[in-house]
Amino acid sequence: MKSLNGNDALWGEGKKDNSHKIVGPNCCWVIGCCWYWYGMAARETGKPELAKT
Amino acid sequence: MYLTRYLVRYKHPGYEIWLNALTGAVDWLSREEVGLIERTYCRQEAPDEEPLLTQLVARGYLYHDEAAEKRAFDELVDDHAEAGGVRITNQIVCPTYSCNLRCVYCFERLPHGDLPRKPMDRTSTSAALAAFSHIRETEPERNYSIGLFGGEPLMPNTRSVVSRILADAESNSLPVMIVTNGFDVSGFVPLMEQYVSSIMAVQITIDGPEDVHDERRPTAGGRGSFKSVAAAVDSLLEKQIKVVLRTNVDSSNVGRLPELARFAKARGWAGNPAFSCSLAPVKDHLHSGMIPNVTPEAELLSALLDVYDRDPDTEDLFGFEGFQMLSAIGGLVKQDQPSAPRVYHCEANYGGFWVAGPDGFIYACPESIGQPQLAIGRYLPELEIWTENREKWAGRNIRTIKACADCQIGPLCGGGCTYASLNDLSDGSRPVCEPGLIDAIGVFLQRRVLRSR
Repeated sequence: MKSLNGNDALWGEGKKDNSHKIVGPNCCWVIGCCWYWYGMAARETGKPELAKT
Repeated sequence: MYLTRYLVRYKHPGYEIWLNALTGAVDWLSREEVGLIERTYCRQEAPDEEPLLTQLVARGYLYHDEAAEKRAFDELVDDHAEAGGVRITNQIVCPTYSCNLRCVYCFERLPHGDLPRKPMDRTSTSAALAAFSHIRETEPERNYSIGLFGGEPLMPNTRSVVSRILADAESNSLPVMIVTNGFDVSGFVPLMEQYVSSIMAVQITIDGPEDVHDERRPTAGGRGSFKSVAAAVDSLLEKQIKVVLRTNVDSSNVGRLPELARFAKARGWAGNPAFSCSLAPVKDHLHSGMIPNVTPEAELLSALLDVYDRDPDTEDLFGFEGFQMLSAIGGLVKQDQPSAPRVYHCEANYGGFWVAGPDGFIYACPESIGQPQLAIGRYLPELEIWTENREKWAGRNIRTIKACADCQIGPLCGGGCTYASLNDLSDGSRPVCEPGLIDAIGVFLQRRVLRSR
């Protein structure tokens, strides 16, 4: 049995800062507005990897 | 031990891929391991120290009993349904229901024929903005953005309304997202320049190379719109205004994506940090049968992967973000973005939309505009919020829909489109299942995840 998950395995696991809750995969209205919100999450959490651009 | 109901198994010669929708685990297992699990582990009372068994429990494939699985399900829903409070709440204004294009798949003409054509005026704009301000004060813990939608929001007769909305957003430090077909955008660029710091992005749709786009998105007079729209993208990027290029995709245009990708590159869009693009599968949420070429997701994905295999640059540009479930799974396996389950279908299910139409009503979903029977309130003649109607949308998740709580992909699907459920089934309490989703996941895992490992 080999995990195919990335480094941060299960749903939201390891993201104790709740950044995964700011932007989820449920957006449907405008694809890409998460640009802005990922950027905000990156600033608020100090995790630049969240900024997708 | 109890094997979770949220397990999706993809069987291949010599191995299986297991996907656990409840925990997000994705695993490769040999046939021998699967046999051991079926023959032995599922029949044990409790896990012993055997490494495989411990791993299966840790990744949520095996629970002590059904009640333990139910507790994990409740915890997931509680955690993520509650998270709606910190997610984005979009306050959207539709200055008009009119449009200067006649797209072949437009959903706004479906359920109700012609929508009222009168655009918002000074009075209604003031009332809508005041209503939104009041809502923000009532629920201050949320992250708000302002949206412009329609109809087509950027037309000559909406200029004064748009100007007031942009000014109001800036004065309240709210980011703005503009959804436009792009046809008349060039005339709005100077106005947008004034508010460039407030505009987070402008979404413009181009459906393929010129002949494809013009056939799918003609003007009201039957002419092509491609040249004007492409010029609009140029104008916005020149001013460093972010552009999200949306391509509505189905079986009829998926094969032409590489030409659009090459156009974007030749035009200098691709590679511009202010430019991004994404696909959006064309849907017929009302099952009207009036939208041509709607393609089951697995079939569309398979065709898309064929295109991407032949032209990797096109995959680099468009990716899979518009396929919502695959986007969630992509987050799990690639970790290029935070990943979360879909305990509900979309923003409407955490009250993330307030859509003000020119008809004076407030809607919970941009797709439901112009249908007062689905409204959640009105802002004219004065603000009223109809809580009972709002809860049909905002309270709907995979726990409130019994069939979704029992469905193996419930936490990946989110229960389906509430708008479709309310239209088809009247009370929204039943799921809206899109055929082929499980197959689509299998195609994606096999052709993109396994191939790269």
